[in-house]
Amino acid sequence: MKRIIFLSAALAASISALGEVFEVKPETRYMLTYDWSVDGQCRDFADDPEGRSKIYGYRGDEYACEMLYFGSGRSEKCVCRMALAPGNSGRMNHEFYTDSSTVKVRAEVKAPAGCKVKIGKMALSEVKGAPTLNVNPDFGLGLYNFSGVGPSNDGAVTLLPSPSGGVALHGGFYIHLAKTPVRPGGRYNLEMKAQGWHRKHRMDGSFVFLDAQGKKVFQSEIPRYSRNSKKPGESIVKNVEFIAPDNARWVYLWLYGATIEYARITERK
Amino acid sequence: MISVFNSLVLAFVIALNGAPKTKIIVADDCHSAERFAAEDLQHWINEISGAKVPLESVSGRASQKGVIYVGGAFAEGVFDDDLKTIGESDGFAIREKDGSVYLFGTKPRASIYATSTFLEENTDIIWARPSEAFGTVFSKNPNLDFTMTDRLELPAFETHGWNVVAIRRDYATAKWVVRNRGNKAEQAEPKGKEGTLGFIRDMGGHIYWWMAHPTKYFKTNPEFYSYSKLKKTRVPETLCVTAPGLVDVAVKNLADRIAAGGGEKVESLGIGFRDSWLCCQCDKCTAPIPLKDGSTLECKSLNPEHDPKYYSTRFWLFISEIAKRLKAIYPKMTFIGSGYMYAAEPPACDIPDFMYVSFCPIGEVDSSHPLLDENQKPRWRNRLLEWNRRFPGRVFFYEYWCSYSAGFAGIRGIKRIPIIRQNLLDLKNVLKGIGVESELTPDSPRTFSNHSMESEWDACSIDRWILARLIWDPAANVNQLAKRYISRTYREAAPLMRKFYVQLMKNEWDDSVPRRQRNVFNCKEPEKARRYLAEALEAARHPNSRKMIERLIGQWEIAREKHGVRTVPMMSKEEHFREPGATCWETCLTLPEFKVPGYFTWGVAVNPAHKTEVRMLTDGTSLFLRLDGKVGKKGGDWVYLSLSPKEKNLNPWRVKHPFDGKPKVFEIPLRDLGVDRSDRGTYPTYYFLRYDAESGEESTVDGAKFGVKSGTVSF
Repeated sequence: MKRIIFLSAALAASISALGEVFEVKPETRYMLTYDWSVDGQCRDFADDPEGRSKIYGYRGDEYACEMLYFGSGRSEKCVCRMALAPGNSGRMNHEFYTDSSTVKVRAEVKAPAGCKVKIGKMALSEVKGAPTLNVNPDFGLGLYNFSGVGPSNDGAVTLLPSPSGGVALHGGFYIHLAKTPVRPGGRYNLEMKAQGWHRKHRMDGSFVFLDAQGKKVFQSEIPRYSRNSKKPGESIVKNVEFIAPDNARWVYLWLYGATIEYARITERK
Repeated sequence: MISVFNSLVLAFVIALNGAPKTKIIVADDCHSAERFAAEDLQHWINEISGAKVPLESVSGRASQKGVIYVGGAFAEGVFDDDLKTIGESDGFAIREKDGSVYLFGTKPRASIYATSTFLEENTDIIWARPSEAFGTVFSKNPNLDFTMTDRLELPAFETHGWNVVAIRRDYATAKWVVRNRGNKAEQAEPKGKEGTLGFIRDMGGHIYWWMAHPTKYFKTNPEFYSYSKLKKTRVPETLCVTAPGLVDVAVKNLADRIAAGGGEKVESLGIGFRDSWLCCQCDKCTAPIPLKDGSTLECKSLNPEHDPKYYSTRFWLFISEIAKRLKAIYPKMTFIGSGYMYAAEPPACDIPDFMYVSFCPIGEVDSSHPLLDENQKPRWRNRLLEWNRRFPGRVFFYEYWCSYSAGFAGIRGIKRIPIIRQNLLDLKNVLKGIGVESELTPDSPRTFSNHSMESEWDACSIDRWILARLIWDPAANVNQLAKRYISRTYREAAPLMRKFYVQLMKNEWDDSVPRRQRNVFNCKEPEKARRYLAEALEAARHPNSRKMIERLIGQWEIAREKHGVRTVPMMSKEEHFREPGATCWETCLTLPEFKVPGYFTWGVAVNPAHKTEVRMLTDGTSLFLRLDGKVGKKGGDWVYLSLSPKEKNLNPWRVKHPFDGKPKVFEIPLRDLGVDRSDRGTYPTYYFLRYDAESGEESTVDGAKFGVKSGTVSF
């Protein structure tokens, strides 16, 4: 992997940006890491619980924020925006897959006016030998790290301390988990511990399969998660086996009103 | 037993000092509805007086004196003129002869109308709502003398009932219906006991899938199902009403279903399409329809909303054929086609003489005017007039007066009753219609559409009761009915409850509030009616009256919150707002309890280990926010309070504050929140969160999700 240094400061009067460009392999799992610290008038999640659900999605006008771009030039597109975690400093570990055609990745940190950000030791490394195919399956990267989480449709998405001591994700009305590579005809297993916010005490969801161009080729429902009335405070664990259909290159989970403690996708031998 | 009462009035003695002085007699082969009538009479006499009047079953004719005969069999040969007058109707009579009282009709259910009326007119009982716990109000009286023993009443319509929707099989609601003279309470009787109360036995509704269910036919006969020009294929979303062989299949399946549902006992079949605007778009279903006069009816649009006449004609042609064939099998059955959505438009074709239309005035109807009023939307008025002109006497109203609302029960009062009454009078006198059926939610704690069905009764029992009486007799005096309901239900609190309902009728709104958005909370004096409720609760003595007022108040508060109205009371600047213990904080806005959001309890918010309470007051210049609650032994609790102005240029007011459980008052200038008290568009939203260090819980107002604004306060 070749690294190209990229530095941009004071791009505009109100926003400054710092970042680097990396050459990458397509459909490969990477970890972006860097040290960061903020100073000045930055909003801090520790003093702002209202903002916690905003950690996912661009809030560059309020928070220091990491932006991740795939491609370059005119074809460059932003694939992830994540606000930086609370406190004045820390180390970010952001795990993701590159797309089927991605050979260049640009990572950038932006900050609103009055907020000074320092970035150091930014690095991108390939992740090998991970126990699951999907990224951040147990949300173990922390309470303020949305690696592995895709688009959602409301402002209620949040990471929470789970009763079992880990971290859980509440996906608001609906949420997509980040896409995971699959092989057509490959056999996979989803092990998911989750529960629903639906008024009928249930959670529904689907597997959505995409081709290499990101076009949907198939969708199939995940068996419904329903509350056990004798254990109203417990999440349900289910193992669901699935086979990737022809042309499928990626799969993601589309979940409605879900609180997920973990969602692990593994390939069956 | 007849005794001299007050020296002038002859009274039938039921109970004396709690001891029975008569008995109730039914025929040993009577219908279950007549037995229910007798048992119900026995039950309520016992409740009122403490006297358990014996109930006997006898065979043969009436021969005893001083007893109460229940059922039509005893009237034969005794009150033949009455029986003749009642004829096939649901009419009932209360008569006295030779020292005995006769309660009867020609239909079994009429005996229930008779016993209920006998009780109502001789005591102060009212079945105000179905709830068996608190829905009936009466005075205890160990000495029961009944003076009203002579009455005959006939209903205005053949059908005067309800479709008990949302939650089926609610027997309490079925009993309320029949005690209040309804003859239909669809699917409200318990399974296996259908017919117990003698309701009209009907079947049907949206029955396209009864005719040909796709699970059975779609693979073998896809031509039975609608063609979509967009998808270029047949889809099992509705029927292709011109498909060859479909009528044969439909008639067979419907006949089988009717046979399973009671055969000849089924009195009425409602035939409607699926609850959708979708229609088949195949060439045949959209082809010109030849009419009797030699002309043709062209299909002008693939969207039935744009050409209801065409699609209504297609529908009525289809169901007319089915009805004709079923009529040959079940000649006594009444067939009612659905005049719903596009089929509310009178078709261009004829319909069989024996068929009726269930006219459903829903969708853009102006509910502030009667249907035949000149100010009604011309589309609906003209439709009804055309139905009447072309098919006189065949209109049946299907209404939604007491159906469930979206999300919560609204507080309505009785303002709409005179308009509904006019519709009923028009149905009787102008349209000569056969009857009316309205959707009615059961008085059940079970939830549907986000709220419990009993909450609809909490909010509006009075209009349900009055409507029940009006569908029996639309000529009845609404004021008298309202007066009876209020005086009997609320008793000592009746004067205040009368003021409450009058105030709801007198509410006025600024012209700037669109008519459809008007409610009891955005009127000019929203708190006036609420004050009457509070005073009524103080005045009420009967536990059931109190309960019903309490529940009405509860529903008022829920409706207010659901309308997003949490009004901060304004008090004099001289009040000691900054002192948490000041008396002004006793009459303030208290936000709903803090709860732990249901992230790990399947969406059900749960009470936290330690409570938090936020109250609000204003002096017109500042918003005062009082925080109170309990804390655990471990320190480190905090609260996060945030108020977001509507104006985007203003910064939110936010504070994260340590919390030690001692009451604390925050003062926020209204100008910092951009609040202009006269402009509802400037009222701020709030988001409050409490962290409990001991339990590790984070709770929010009413368990709102993190990051989601809990609501808006108004001033």
